[in-house]
Amino acid sequence: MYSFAQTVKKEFLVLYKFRWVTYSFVSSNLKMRYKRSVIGIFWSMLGPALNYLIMGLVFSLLAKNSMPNYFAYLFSGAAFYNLMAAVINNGPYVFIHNEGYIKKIYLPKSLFVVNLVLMETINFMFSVGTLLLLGLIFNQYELSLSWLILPFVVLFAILFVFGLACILGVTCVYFRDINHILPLVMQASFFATPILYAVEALPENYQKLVRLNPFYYFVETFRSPIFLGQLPPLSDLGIVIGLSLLSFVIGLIVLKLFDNKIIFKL
Amino acid sequence: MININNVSLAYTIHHERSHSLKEKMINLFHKRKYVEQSEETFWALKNLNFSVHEGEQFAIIGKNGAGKSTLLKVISGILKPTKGSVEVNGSIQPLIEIAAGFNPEFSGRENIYLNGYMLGFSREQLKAKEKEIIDFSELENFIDVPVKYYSSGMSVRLAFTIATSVEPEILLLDEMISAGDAGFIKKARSRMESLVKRAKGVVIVSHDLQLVREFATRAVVIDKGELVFDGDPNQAVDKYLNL
Ligand SMILES: Nc1ncnc2c1ncn2[C@@H]1O[C@H](COP(=O)(O)OP(=O)(O)OP(=O)(O)O)[C@@H](O)[C@H]1O
Ligand SMILES: [Mg+2]
Repeated sequence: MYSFAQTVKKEFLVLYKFRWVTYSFVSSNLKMRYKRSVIGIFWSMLGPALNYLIMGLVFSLLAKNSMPNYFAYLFSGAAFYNLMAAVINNGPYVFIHNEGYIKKIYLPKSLFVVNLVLMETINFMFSVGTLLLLGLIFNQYELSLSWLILPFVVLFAILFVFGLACILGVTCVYFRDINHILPLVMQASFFATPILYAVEALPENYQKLVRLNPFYYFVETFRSPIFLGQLPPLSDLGIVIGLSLLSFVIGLIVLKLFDNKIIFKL
Repeated sequence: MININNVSLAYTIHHERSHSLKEKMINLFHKRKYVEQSEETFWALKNLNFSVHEGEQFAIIGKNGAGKSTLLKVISGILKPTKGSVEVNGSIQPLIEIAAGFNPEFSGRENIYLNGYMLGFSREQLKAKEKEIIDFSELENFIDVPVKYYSSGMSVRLAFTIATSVEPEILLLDEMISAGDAGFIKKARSRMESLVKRAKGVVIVSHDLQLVREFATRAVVIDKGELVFDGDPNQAVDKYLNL
């Protein structure tokens, strides 16, 4: 335990030393995404909103659901799920796409994972910020004190996907074909997570099944303050914290174990 | 300054170059073992022992595939030795695989910053060096264009200039870089020379035997991963020619 804390501390110090690498990587990437034009910024903020609007329209036509502020429900779940999915889907590439740097100079491998997570988080902030604002303007929900928990939920989600990205990145160095399987898994898990629909809409025994899906707890915890204006159940929050720490610890251990081996397989 | 103690390094060679989970699974079910057999351990460095002292101009020579580049990577910490240990006192900077490490989607300027930070420059240092790097690589008009639109000579010029703007105490050089056109090569050579002059120690890998005789104060000969000679550069060259 003690030595793990030391490892984490050392890792943070090293990452702090390379903070400018992260800064320049993330800012260049974001510039690439947003700078093309004013429409570019506009689009990347509104794109997700429109996307969820269409999804919501189609789904509410199909399912005839009668949730009053369904869009708030949909976007808060989907935006947060997409943050995690974006990191996870790019996870396999964290090392193989940085082969050039890894072979040229010794860099801590966690640096590449941090870059990915940070970039997607900033992206998420942009789109979720716009969406939250739109929701308030259109009276989908009200500001509430329970929103104060949102940054922490995001933080735990970040730890969770950081760990997964470490594991996926290392795995993909050895088994290149996981990047074909992963998007399918993530697509399936999007529909298996109550994002378009409410858990209560499912038959009893499926509701139990949903509780085996880790994304369910993250999405519920993030959505509860926005959609219901109240804190998530403590048990859900506990599971979120547990899963994040577990994933983070395992991810870091995997990374440390393979740090010096990755280069031989690139 | 550099201590190499009983260093060995193994590469795993895959005869089937496919890293596929699918195949692993299939093989698992069919209990066929050919995937395991197609992996082979290759010792690129075998039990090397030597040290490089301050002020030395140290040369490593050997045939193609002898393990010279591998050795430089081990010294610089990019590769960890499979056995043994490497001690290095002083800041170190390898000049190898120079053209790697650009993000083709980023502009030249963005790559200067990204690479510069990786090499350990601070923000202020990079701001001060930026102009010099752009001038030396003669890329004023292209510096804000994504590197993917550069000719290969242009990206080598930029990469060379960035790499040689660090002034490490210990300089590792793998082959002299033939970067760009004749004019640039001349400039590049004198830049290298001044870098070498300022370094406390230099380790070069070269096939240019004349250069080794003139430049080196000590040389080792590596053959199939083994150290076969350590000492006077002229004798080393003779030894190498008789391999
Ligand atoms: N990534 C790798 N995986 C497997 N084997 C490798 C790898 N890199 C190098 N080797 C092998 O290790 C041996 C030494 O290679 P190295 O590049 O160090 O040779 P070198 O002395 O620099 O040769 P050259 O004079 O051609 O530059 C070679 O037999 C090469 O095939
Ligand atoms: Mg070589």
